[in-house]
Amino acid sequence: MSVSWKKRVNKIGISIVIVLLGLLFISPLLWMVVASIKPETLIFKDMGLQSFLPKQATFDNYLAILFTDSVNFLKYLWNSLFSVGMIVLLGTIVNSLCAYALVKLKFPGSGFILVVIIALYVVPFESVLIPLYVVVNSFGWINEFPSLIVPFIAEAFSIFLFIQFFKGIPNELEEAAQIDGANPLQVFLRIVVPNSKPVFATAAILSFVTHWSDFMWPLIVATDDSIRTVQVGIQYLFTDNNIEYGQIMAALTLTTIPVVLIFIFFQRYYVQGVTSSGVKG
Amino acid sequence: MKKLCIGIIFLLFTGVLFGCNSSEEASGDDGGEVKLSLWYPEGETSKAYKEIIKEFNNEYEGEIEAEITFIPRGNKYAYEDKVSAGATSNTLPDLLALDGPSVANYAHSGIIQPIDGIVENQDDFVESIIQQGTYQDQLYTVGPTESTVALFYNKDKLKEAGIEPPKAGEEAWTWDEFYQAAKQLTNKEENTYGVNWTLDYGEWIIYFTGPMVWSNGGSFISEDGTTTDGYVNGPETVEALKYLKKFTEEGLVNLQPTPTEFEDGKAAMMLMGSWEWSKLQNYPDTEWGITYYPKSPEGKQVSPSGDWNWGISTSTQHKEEAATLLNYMMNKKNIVKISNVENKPAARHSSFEMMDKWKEEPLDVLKDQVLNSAHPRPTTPSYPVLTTKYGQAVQNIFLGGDVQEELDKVAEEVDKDLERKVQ
Amino acid sequence: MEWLLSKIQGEKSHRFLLTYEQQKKWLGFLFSVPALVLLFTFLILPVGLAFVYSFMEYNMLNPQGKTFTGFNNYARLFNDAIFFTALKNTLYFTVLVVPLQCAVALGLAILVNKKVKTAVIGRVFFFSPVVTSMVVVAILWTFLYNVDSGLINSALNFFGIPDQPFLLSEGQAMNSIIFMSVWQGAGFQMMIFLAGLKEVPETLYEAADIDGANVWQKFLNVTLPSLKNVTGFVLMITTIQAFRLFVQPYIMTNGGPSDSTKTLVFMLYENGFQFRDVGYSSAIAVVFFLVVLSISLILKKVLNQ
Repeated sequence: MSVSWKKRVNKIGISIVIVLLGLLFISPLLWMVVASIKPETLIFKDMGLQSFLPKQATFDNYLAILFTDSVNFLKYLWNSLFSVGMIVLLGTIVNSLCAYALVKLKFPGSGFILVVIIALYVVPFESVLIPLYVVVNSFGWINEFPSLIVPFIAEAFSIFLFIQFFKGIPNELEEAAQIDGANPLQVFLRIVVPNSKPVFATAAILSFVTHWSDFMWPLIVATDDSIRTVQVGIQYLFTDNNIEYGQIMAALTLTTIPVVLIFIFFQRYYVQGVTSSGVKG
Repeated sequence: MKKLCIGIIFLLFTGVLFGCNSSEEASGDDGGEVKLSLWYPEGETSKAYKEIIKEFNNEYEGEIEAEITFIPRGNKYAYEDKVSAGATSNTLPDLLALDGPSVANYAHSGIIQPIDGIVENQDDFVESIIQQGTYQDQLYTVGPTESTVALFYNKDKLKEAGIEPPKAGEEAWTWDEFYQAAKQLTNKEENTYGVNWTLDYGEWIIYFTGPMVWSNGGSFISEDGTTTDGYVNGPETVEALKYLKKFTEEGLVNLQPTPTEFEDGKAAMMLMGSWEWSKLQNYPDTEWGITYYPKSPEGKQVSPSGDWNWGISTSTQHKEEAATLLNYMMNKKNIVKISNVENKPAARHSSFEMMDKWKEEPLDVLKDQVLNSAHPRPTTPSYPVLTTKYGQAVQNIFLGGDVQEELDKVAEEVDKDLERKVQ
Repeated sequence: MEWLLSKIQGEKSHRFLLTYEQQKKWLGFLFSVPALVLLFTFLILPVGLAFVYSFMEYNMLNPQGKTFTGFNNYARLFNDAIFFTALKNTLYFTVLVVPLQCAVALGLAILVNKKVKTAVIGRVFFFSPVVTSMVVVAILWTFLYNVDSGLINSALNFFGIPDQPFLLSEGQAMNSIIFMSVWQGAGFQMMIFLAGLKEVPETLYEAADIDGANVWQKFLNVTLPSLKNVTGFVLMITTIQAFRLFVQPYIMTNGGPSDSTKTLVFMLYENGFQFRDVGYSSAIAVVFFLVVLSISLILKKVLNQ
């Protein structure tokens, strides 16, 4: 009785800590949402704690960005979802397979490739922007969807991440499957993938977040209105002179929603790995 | 999981269809028509340009067809990055818009070509526009509108303090009068400031502090454009910045203002661009006024100038048609159209004549500055280094840095760059 | 799909009678080919080009006019005082931010790994700064750090501490950015730690419970050793990310005051995109690459021991 009571108090304590800390972390997001429903003239009037409570609410900012004739916000949103979705989907397959091959199938030269991949993660994107543009332009992809997708499918970071986690999968599991007559691909699909759901979720989430906020690259390769991404699309709000902060906050709120939804969706896969029970069983 | 997979595959297919559709539309059939492409930074003015291009295409149907692409500005240098990428891959448009101070850099790099003798009614343009578009005695660009910086003020606050702002250019406040007014209007207990100026990190700093330097007889670069040593760090420039530093040191200006400090009544005056007037109309409860940019004790009244303008790229195959389009966009009627969008001062005298609001208070002040005291920013291929380093130096000065020391560093960096570019 | 593939593979292996070991070699190669080809085309090739550009005088607006100038750009770089300032600032940021951010991330991950109903809310909330636009985050933190009306100074005043200049002071600007970066980025590493925690067998905790271990002992003896691999990985990627610091100083301080927040990538961007000096910017990139690579390899050696 006393033990379970203690446990309950413990749990309540942890919950309180999480919620309090959580509020601290979510405050900018909250501020953004609140600012997006304020009239423009009130946004910066008070910048203290009271700025989190709107005295006056309006949806004008949302109406303004969703229904301008020159800007097709929903189309941009879709373009982003499509290109980033492709990167995440194809990237997860390509990168996890590569990592699996490097860690578990150790073919000749895999050790060297591993070092190269770590080295590639070091490269700051800003330093290859112009050369990359030269390469992509030579394929004739400017203003075409491949320019937004193909260069980012293979990613040193994702491969590196998968490698770390695949390393931890006990070899006994694979050997057992191997004895059952499975080939390496079957081992990957039946043993490695089901045992690594959290890693796949992490790779997908982190890749999604990274590319969702890409701005420089899409700006340079995708000027055409038909493939413009949302991050580029909302930049029309940041003009030289009269910056409408309310509309910016509304646009940013709309661009943040998909990421949060994707996150909530993927974080379900953070279940206890089956590895441990598998080893015991 | 299966449902998810099917969903994703479905999405991908529709996406591919979308993509194909749009690319097919772009490659239409042309029947001997000359096609012209234009790049312009996206913004409020986009709408006016869209209309003008549409009318142009109607008028020249069968002869010329123009297509304008609006490039987002976003990040401070995004438009320029796009131009750079275009230059790298040889895909620049026939006509491209560029900001005033970029003219020298673009001309020096061979991206835009001289347009001497092409511009119709050239004498009708205000002088500062022609100065801005000229590099090494050749005209490269013209633009439809001008801009300027003036002193905006809160009428109630000045009345309360018994301060009467000047009504004519000759009576513009001297540095000392401006300083005294700012001091009187600062109220430390109520946390309100005498004057507000933005500390934006981009082009703004050289643009809004320039007149202080010029009015004091100083400059940023030598006349022949070969050195900045003794100019950007010369005694007149140092004096001008020491004067501005007094404001920050004594707390007459807020170093970290909110974007709407002046509008919210927390600052009595504001040194700001001409575009601010239309923004102030969102605050009808306060009465706003505009007066002239203050002048140095001995010098005359000076104001900054410059706005986006148009150049013809060197890679165009249709210079003649591009010139036709340029002149069409720059006719007095279209300039009025563009000017009206954001209340920008027009770049043609005749366009000014067509708009009554510029003859009345308070916009007449802006017009007067554009016509009589406008001064362009320096034209040099090293302008990007100059404006960046100068901006950083002024930032440091306002935070307490030594004026001479900071400006010496600017001269050193810019001169190194000049040496590489002007060999 | 799996069925189809396994059928093809199965038949193949049957026909050619490849052993599992042989299959491993061939399929290993086959599996890594797509990633390697893509990495080569879109990363190694551009890096190679950047390397070539670093030996050139190359104005971005005038690509036809680029010329080889030997080691000029490198000579310039090692005579450039700003480069050493930027290097120093970058190292300072990295040394402080890495341990702080990793510790915070681990703490958060352990919290949201608990079996409480609020754990999911915690994950979403702690991760939210990572997904929020940097524009919003930067605007908000500039206000939080404001000298006379900022929330942080109001809080400090409450405890009797006078107003601090934060972003306006040469001494505090970088520390302010470090604090903000830990808060903003910890959610990223938290997700990796969380994935790691999910792989720690629960039986280990049960065993520790039976031994009567307290929370702290469980953390030291079970959690940390089980996360060894993951921690090493997180330390490494956080170090590399820290070296790439750019957006925060770019938006919040513009590298100032007095270059105190100017970093290597900031310098690279400024020279490449503002001054359009591709050659010099590439030289900075090459040196940056060599510095970070050697540090990561040393780190890898140390972590492996």
